[in-house]
Amino acid sequence: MKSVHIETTINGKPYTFDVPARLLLVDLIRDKAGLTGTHVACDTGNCGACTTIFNGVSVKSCQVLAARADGATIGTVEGLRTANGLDPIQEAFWDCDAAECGFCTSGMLMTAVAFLADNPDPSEDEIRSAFKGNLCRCTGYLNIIKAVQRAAALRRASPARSGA
Amino acid sequence: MSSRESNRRKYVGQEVRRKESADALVGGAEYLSDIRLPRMAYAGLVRSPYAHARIKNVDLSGARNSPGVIAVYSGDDLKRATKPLAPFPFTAQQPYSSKYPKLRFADHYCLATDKVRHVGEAVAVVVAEDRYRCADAVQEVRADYEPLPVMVDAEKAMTHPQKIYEDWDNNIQYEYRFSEGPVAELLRKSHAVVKETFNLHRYTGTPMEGRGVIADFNRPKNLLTVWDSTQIPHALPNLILESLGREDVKIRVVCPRIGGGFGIKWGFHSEEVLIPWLSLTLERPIAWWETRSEHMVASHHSREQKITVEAGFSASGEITAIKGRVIVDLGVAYPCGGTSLAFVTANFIPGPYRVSNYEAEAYGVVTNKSASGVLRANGKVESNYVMERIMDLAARRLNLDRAEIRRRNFVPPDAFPYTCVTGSIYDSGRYGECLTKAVELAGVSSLREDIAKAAREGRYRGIGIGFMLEPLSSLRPNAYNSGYETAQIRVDQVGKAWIVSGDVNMGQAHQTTLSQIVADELGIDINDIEVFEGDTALLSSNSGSYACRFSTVTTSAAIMAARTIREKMLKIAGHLLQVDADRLDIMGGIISAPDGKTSITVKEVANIAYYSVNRLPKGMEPGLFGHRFFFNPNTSFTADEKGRSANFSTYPYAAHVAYVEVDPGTGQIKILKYVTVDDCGNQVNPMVVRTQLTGGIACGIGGAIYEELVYDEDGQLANSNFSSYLIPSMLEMPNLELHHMITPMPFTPGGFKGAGEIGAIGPSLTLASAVEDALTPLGIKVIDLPLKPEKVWRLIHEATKGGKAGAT
Repeated sequence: MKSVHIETTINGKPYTFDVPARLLLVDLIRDKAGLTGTHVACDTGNCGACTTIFNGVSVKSCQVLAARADGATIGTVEGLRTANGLDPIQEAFWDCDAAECGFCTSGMLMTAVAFLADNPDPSEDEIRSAFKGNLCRCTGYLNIIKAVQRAAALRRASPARSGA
Repeated sequence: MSSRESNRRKYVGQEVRRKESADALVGGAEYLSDIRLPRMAYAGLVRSPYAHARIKNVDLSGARNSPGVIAVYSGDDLKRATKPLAPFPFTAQQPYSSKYPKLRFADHYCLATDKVRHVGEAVAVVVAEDRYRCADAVQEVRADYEPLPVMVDAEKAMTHPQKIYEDWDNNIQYEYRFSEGPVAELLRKSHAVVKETFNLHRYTGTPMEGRGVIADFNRPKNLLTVWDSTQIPHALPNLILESLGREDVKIRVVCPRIGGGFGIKWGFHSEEVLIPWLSLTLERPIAWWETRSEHMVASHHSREQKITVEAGFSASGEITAIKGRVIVDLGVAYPCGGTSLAFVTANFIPGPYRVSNYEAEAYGVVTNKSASGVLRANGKVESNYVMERIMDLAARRLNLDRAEIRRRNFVPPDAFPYTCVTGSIYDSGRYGECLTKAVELAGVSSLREDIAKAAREGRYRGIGIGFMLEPLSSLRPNAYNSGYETAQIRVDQVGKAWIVSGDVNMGQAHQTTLSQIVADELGIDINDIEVFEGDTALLSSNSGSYACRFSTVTTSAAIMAARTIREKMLKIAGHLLQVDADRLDIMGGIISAPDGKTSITVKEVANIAYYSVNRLPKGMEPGLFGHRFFFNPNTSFTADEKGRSANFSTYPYAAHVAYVEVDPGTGQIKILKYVTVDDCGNQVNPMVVRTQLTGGIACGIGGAIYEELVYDEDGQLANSNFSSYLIPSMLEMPNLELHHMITPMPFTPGGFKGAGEIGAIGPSLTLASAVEDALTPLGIKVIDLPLKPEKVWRLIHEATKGGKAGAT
């Protein structure tokens, strides 16, 4: 099987891998980098549990080959927290009870990071539309909508953080 | 509650943030597929493309030669090495006999042997060094089949000569009958009789994390450790060893963090035997977790029933008698909770209403589909749906208000504890008040003006009202491993509490709520408590996480265990402080006398209990430990002479009101307003209650409108991924107005009833009521589910004979 050489940056740290050409990005992140906070739930790009930030854009990492990571900058849920504590998005999810089983949560958080970077003051309809590719089976979403609104407010109040 | 008890309530009733989120929010929660063990190999299953076929040959040679493959096995290998899957203990009521309920089991090995009976049944297993090469090798297995006639209609299968299990005399796995009172005569004499047959569709809980198993056999210790994404860890050691035919190994089952269950993980699955067998055989850790498409074809489904209800009413709307017939499409007869669907549905069709004369027959019928297990509010989504539809139709027939006909039949508040016609004992409730409150809060009278206005514009708007009763905290007659829960608590030498319960953590906030409860009982800080769940090495037994048993039974065991420790701490403190123990109280980790000056900390008492035992009262054992068991209140293990049994301990209820608009051109339903009033007893954490209710309602909306597993006549599942099986997204979820009443559960120390499931019941019955109301000008009855646009459109189309509804 053909191998590919990858030099990439994940959560600000450099990584080098030699992996099979067919390896998926999500498996590179989970198995090779050992960052298991990114989850796989549907295998078909429908659910968004594997959402990561790829060169500043949210992508479903089960739909991308690992080879694409060469030279790229990737952000995962593990990179959200800093020495100063949780990101406002994480705090807002916690305050609003936006995670239950937690399996979709990493993908929700990463979608929120990319979305709020583009739209710092979203309406409820804009949030609903932006998250339509992130499925949750526990919460019924309403707390997630509130959490994104709250995160937006927290970020506007202290704009220093921009997430991954 | 005494004032002293209410003083102790610092945490219960508060909106404490979830402990469980601390790791989930940073990607640190460890789910099954995050576990990596040294030398771990991966298993992949070869699954049948046929719904019913004889297996002619399974050629493993290509797979054996595939790169990275360690071993490949077929059903014949497993048949030689293991026993059939053990019967599911929660439904093991009685052997098939002349008495009801009748139940029988089928011999299924963990791989199919001579026949496959549904699409997705596994015929071979491949073990390889990594998941990619495992998937390659799965493609190299060549299985030859001889297709057999396929049975996908449960009602036809009941009498069809084609049998799915050759050694059975027909395709009926389960049969239950109940009769009380002169039902036929009363129906004949009733002022009005409403009779309908409801086709309820098959769907699934499909949690975000599918099922998975990792097994690691340690030969030197003779210890088999099984990590399993299951709702019933404590039932599995027995089931796995019995199915393996092994008594010579020790087995430990551990639940990691679980990415949702919803009943799908309440059952016994073939991989839970196969993966441990592979580890025992190959002496390596073996991992398997399903893909979503595997989950859809091979994990349990639920809900598919055909129910006929005939209900008699007096002229003033009182129910005179009910007759019910329930046919559950079980799919194949795997060891899971499917048969309980028939039992629960048949037992609770009378629901919240006073019914003295009731007759029911219920059948669980096997077909060539994936097994039907249980799903959030199992059987109660169905029983409440059919009864609420009957009440609406009766109201229309008798020209009564839909809320009023319900109020005339409700079990009144002064009748509790109320023994219902099928024998279960309802604990408490204020049903009429709940429904009235929901109707008022929804502003039903002003919505009527809005409907009239919309009608003038040619639009169809309507109000749905529904009431639901949810029997919870279940116990099956004669089922073992059920009927109680246990919890153990230890306060360590530095005054921190360690709780062990046998429930599993799949999103219900057990660790948070149990910490709140125990912190109040012990008078310590909530952050000084750690909760462990779902590890058979830590606790002797538990029947699992289902039917909100945690809220009623586990919390009670934990409260009693905490009180055992509290009493001992107070005795020690009283001895040390020379104060009568009865006069001491614990607050904020300090045990103090009423004078407020004489005190000692919990930490000091704990240290003395372990390390200065000479200072303990004479004869007292060291340590601070409580391990208690709590029985399901008001339940019976066996049926009485009439076949009645008390199967559930507590009965939360709710009223939902929906305001919708139906688009006659597309059949789409837009939910404009959704108001609920629920009563789940005392609330440990109102924030968690709201989240659980909201999630339940989302599940109910999915089942009412979007989710349907579609099998064709060849038994092929048409939608086996999230592109074609539509679960609600953020776009489909309406905003909700949630309101509450609190009637404490009278038979437990905490008074909690459970909020995890009841939300799932409301949407189908409330939205059906709303759609029917919206389409009143067309005279449409809404009977079958789901309310997919296509099906609603068809109802409108047929009623208007193809003409434009908008023009009527």
